Amino acid sequence: MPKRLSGAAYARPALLIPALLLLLRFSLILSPLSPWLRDDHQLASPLTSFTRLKEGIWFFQKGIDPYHGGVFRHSPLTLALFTLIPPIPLVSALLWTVADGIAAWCLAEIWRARIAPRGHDGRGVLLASLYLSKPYNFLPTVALSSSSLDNAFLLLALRFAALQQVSPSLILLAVLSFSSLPSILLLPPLVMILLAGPKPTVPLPKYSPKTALRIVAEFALYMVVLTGASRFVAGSWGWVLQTWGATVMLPDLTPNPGLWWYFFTEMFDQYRPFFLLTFSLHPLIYVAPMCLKFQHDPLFAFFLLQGIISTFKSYPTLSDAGLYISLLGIFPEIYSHFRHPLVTALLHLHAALLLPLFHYLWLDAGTGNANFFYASTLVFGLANGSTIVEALWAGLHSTIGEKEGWEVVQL
Amino acid sequence: MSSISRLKSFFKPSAGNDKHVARLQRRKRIYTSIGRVSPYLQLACYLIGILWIFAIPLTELGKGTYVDENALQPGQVSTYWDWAEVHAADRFLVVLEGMREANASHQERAAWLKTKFLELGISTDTQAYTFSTSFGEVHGVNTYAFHSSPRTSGAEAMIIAASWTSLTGDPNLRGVATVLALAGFLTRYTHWAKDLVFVISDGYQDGMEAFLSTYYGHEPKTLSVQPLTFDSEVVWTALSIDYPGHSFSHLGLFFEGLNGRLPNQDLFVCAQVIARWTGGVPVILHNTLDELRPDIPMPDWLQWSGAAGNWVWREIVNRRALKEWEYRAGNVAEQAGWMATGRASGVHGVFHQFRVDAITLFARPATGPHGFHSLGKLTESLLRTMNNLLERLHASFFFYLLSSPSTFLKIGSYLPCSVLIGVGCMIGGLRGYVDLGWERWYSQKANDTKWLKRPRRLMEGVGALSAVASVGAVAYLHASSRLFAPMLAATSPLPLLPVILTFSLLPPFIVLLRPDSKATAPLAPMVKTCLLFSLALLIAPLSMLNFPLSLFFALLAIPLSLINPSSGLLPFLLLALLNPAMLLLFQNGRDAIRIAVWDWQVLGAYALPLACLIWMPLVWVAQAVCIIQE
Repeated sequence: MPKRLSGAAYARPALLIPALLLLLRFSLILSPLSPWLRDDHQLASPLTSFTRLKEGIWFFQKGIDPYHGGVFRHSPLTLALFTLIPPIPLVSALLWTVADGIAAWCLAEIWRARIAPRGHDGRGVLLASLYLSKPYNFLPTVALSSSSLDNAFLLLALRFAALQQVSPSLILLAVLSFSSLPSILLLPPLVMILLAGPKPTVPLPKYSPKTALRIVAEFALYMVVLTGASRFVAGSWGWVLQTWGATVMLPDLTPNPGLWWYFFTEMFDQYRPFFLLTFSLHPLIYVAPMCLKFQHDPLFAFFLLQGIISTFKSYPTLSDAGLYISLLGIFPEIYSHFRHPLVTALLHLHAALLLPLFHYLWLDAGTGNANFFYASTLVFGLANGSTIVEALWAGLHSTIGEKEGWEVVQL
Repeated sequence: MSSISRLKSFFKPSAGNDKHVARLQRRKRIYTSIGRVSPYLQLACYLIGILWIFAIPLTELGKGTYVDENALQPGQVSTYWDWAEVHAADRFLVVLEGMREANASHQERAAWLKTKFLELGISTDTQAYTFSTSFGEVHGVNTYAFHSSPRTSGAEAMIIAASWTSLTGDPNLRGVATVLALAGFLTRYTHWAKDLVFVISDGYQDGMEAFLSTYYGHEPKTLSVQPLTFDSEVVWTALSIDYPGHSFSHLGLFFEGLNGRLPNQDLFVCAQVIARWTGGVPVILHNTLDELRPDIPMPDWLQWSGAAGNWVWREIVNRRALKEWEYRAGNVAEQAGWMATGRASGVHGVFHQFRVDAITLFARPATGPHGFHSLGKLTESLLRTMNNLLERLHASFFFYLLSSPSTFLKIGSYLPCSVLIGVGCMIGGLRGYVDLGWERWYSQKANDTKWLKRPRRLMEGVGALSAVASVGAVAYLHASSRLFAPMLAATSPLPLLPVILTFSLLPPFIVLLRPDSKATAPLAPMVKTCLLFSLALLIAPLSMLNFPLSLFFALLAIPLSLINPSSGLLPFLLLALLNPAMLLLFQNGRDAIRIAVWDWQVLGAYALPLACLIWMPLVWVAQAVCIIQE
């Protein structure tokens, strides 16, 4: 196990920026801005909305099954957590701020684990500050969307994996898959990181199938235990359909920045099962190719898969894209190999302008209709897809390097 | 060589090579040709965009108006408004005219209106309000009355309103009398499925703004206002009645709201159909008569041209199609003017922000032939039509330009002109960005030139842009301060000269404060590239929100995007002429700015912040591009 790096290695004055950003979000969560943003479709999905969470807790405390009816779709683990710490403003503000702080810290830690033992420059703090200042991460936190907590779980799991701590990493991923089912697809690259470390390696590392199997078995054990715990908390099996089921069956067609909702609002019922199956299974096909192609750098495979999941998941929020863009910061070596970084950046800028604009025209001004917002989610999907393709190309290209007068034809 | 084989050889050069080499060569060729044509493509975008603007008034692009919502059925009811109601209105008018003569105070007027509503048996009250602006305080007293729907409880509401001041600036006495008579008349019937709310608002638009912001609970900080005693449901439709003259000849429809918002086109079309067929009143857009201009006689100094000149005069200058075009262009230009400046063309304009479809029925002052009889009749019929609504009017019928009372342009036929110019900016920006990444390197030894990659100064460019743009905040704070407001009353531009010079010349020099850089790439083209990207990002999305405004920025973008980096002081000074501060040089400009400041502080129309925070900074950045020396 590599030596853990102490926090004292950071330059002290630089830490002021993330601290200020955390303070800012803490105060904004307590401001009237937060209730105003809380039900925004771009920041909180039916699976992550704080309003629904509070409703579910209220039902639960009144002895009514919150999973009865279609309002509450948070995992029983989240339910248990918020029964212990009541969702009053001050506590929630603290919880979400701490979660974001942990997420940002984890991002810096992952970066340090990747470049160690080379000296640590200020980039860790920079990454953390960027994570905290990005509107895609910032606004969902202010809206108290539990997608920010999911991000924290994911980054924490990844951090433990990068530091080769098998059990904490697996437990966190298991917890995460209860609130965000598609994240379970991240298990293969996570296992690879646990086996080979967070750094790119030449020659290819030898993955021991036996150890891998042991890790997967451990993960399965956690899943079983947590499922049991959820059954115990919820008191019945109703939560399975309401949480995991919702991810695959899309019962709630509340708009979100993803690619599913509009497609299924327009669909005849007899085609629904087929397309639900197609949409749900589609992300699966990326797992094996990514893991095989990036055997030398499992962290990169993890990053790409996270991007694919955040683009194609059924109930995404902006914080999913925000996490993916933030993770890009861990791989500065690929930047010079981007093919069309500017086009991608401009696509993202356009999406960032069009999403709130068309959302406003449809649902506030009432002058537009659903097609407007759908069009902007397509631009957003295109921007996300283009970011993935860029990163994939650049990641493959960077392993070859550049040579004057030579061009890469195929990777 | 046939064109197809030429095309083939373009995509598949030098046969016999490795297929990968062929692919690379093909890609290179495509990239090179894109790079080569991009300046022309950019200019073509600009050119087509501008030509498209001139095409907007063409009859071929327009479409006849129609009613989209089947439930409305305009003009299908028997109306009951008759001479008895006209007589009632006349009696109200006598008192109102007496109050105008006696110079009655706001309170006296409101108290009298309240008594009248009470006599009619409708719940009523008055509401005093005060707006504090940098020009001083604006006081007024509104009177409002609520009549609950006899059919269903908790229904939606319709507002019938008249402001004390007409949009012509005269007192709207007959408008107020019409609303009072309507209140007495409409409440006698049981077919209303919506609550009826009658509002006599004080002032011009300020009274209605005060009433509506209280009604919807959105009081701005600058407003202190009495709460409402009565309350109704969500308002769907509102009609504002504006009748300043003695009689009227045409019914002018005003529909542009604050910040470029429009009511649903169905409301406009219903008003037009009903006025024409139920009221028998010809309908015009705004205050423009639907007449083509008379022939222009050929001037004497052109008489020498003989037959050719006559032909030009007959076939072009006095051609009917051209006159038609001019008439439509005038209508579109007036609508675009209201929308781009964000001003409301009547009292109806303050409704749209609360998602209420509203228009003003303007009785164009004339000696005849119409009066209370036709106005009341068509208002009754229009209210009956809107009463039919079971759901809100359809979305996406909110984007239109009206070229005449009976023709309009759909979004697809006008949107391309500003979007094309935005695309042109984007192409220019992309080309600038690509160019900045390369440097021609000349080796004397080998007598050979080579293209080398060089790092771009993107972050510095963005930094310079943000630094210059942030000065806009200073301009905004100054323009909305109590210091600036009295200066606008000046009749000569002299006292404003320091302000004009400061805000049109100084801010771009902020870029000279930048830290030294060892980078070889030039900074000025980078700033220009960033400017082009910001313009493209501004123009395209804005075209959906407020098309004329986006067109304004598109037209501004053309000179800004054609400047050469580091081109010195002359273009710098020429650009300064595009600065909104230049408006202060002219009396009309000062008036416009005074209205903009007032509209922003009272009604929340965003012309002032827009000019200070977007328009000015765009010009400054372009000026900065001129003066950055490498």
